[in-house]
Amino acid sequence: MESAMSDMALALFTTFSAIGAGAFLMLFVAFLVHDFSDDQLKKLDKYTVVLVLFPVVGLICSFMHLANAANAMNVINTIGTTPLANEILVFGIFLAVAVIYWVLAIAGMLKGRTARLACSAIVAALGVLAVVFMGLAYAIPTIPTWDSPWTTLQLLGAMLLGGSALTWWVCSLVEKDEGAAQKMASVSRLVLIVGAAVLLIATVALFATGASATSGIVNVAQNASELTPMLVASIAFTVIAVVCGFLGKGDKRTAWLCGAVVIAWFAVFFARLCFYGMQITIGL
Amino acid sequence: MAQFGFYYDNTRCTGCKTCVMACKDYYDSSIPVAYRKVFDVEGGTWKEEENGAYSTDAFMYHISLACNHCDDPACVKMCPTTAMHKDAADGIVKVDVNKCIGCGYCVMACPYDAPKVDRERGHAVKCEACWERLEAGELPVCVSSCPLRALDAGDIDELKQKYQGTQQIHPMPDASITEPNIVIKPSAAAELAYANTATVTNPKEV
Repeated sequence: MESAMSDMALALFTTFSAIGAGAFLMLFVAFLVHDFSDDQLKKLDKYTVVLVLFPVVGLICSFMHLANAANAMNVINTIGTTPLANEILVFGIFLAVAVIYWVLAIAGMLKGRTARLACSAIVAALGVLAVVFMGLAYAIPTIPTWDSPWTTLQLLGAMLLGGSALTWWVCSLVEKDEGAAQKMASVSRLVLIVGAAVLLIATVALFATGASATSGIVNVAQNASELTPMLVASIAFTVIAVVCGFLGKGDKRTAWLCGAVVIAWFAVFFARLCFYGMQITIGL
Repeated sequence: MAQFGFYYDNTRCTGCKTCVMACKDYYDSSIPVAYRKVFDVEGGTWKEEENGAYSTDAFMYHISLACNHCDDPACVKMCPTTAMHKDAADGIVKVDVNKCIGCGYCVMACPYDAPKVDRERGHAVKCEACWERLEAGELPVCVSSCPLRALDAGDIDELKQKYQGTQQIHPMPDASITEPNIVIKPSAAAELAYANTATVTNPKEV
């Protein structure tokens, strides 16, 4: 529990950033499956600021975690050799390209479907890469409860769950015709379910790994029991987010989808707190 | 000195924590930060015999640990800025405060929980073996303060020759993971601990 709380800034960073990256992935998917009119695109480009804000807030949270952010440029010393430097580099590139995309879109410089698809595909690919590197940053050999593929899978699940809810909600503000947005809704629902399933399975697997670990210094049973409410909250919020996604029809479509975004955020956040709480090293 | 190391006599240590306090005082460490820590390890059981008497294999001992200035330090490998580095001259693992961002990855990675992030100072802090004192021909402050003479420090090869011992006692991690530069003379209780369930009973303190 203590470990979970001491890593609050990191939990916020990974929550906001993973959801932001997922939102850009789903924005690309939305362009792929739906033809927005010019007016809708203008509106959507304005609302894309919400998508940009997620990784920006994530970045601010990550800096809050540092004891001395003024030395941050020194990470260039170990790019390619340490997982954290790689994560910072890839996330930084993703964020910069996402901001550039948004500026180009707002300035009306993304003319034509091909240009928009190509640019959003680049941002989406970088976002996915950033999330993968975020997961790999926790592949610390001396922390066996983290050093597993479940760590990266949890973040990818978070990315799909939160990202699909967020972009779907933003698109619903633009495309008022529910019938026309049917294909986009179907894809979003599918991604929402896949993301929820991956997040749930990975979080439970990480929790089980932590709960079955042995330690001479950490009372593992007590640690697991203290984290159980967070696990239950994450599972509950994940299920409710999916339910909100499915209820997102008719007059209150936008409200339900907004609810799905908020609840998915909490689902991811509690899952991340659970993850940090399960930091059990091989040693003291 | 090719490689600095510590010697710890587990049979002498009474867990008085003078080493901890001497270090904290010398470096004016903040309350949650200690470069050296003393782990209290306890274990064993009580068993009722057929005649109604009780027998026990209960045991307890202490482990005084600072940074072990490992040959393959996990903290150095994870540090994203090269702030955490191994000094080529004496093998002491040091923090370059001008590079450290205080991300805490060294704290997470070290299986001995040696480094800490001191947010007031804005960087990671850890035992640097009192290298200024070593250069002046003095012993580290923890070593010279130990009232039981349970600690020693110096060139690890010389310590290995001078003392017989091991690199780990329960519940320290397998020495092959980071190759700690420490020689430990295990107490009978520590040897017994391998056959029993032993836990650290002062986790909040360390």
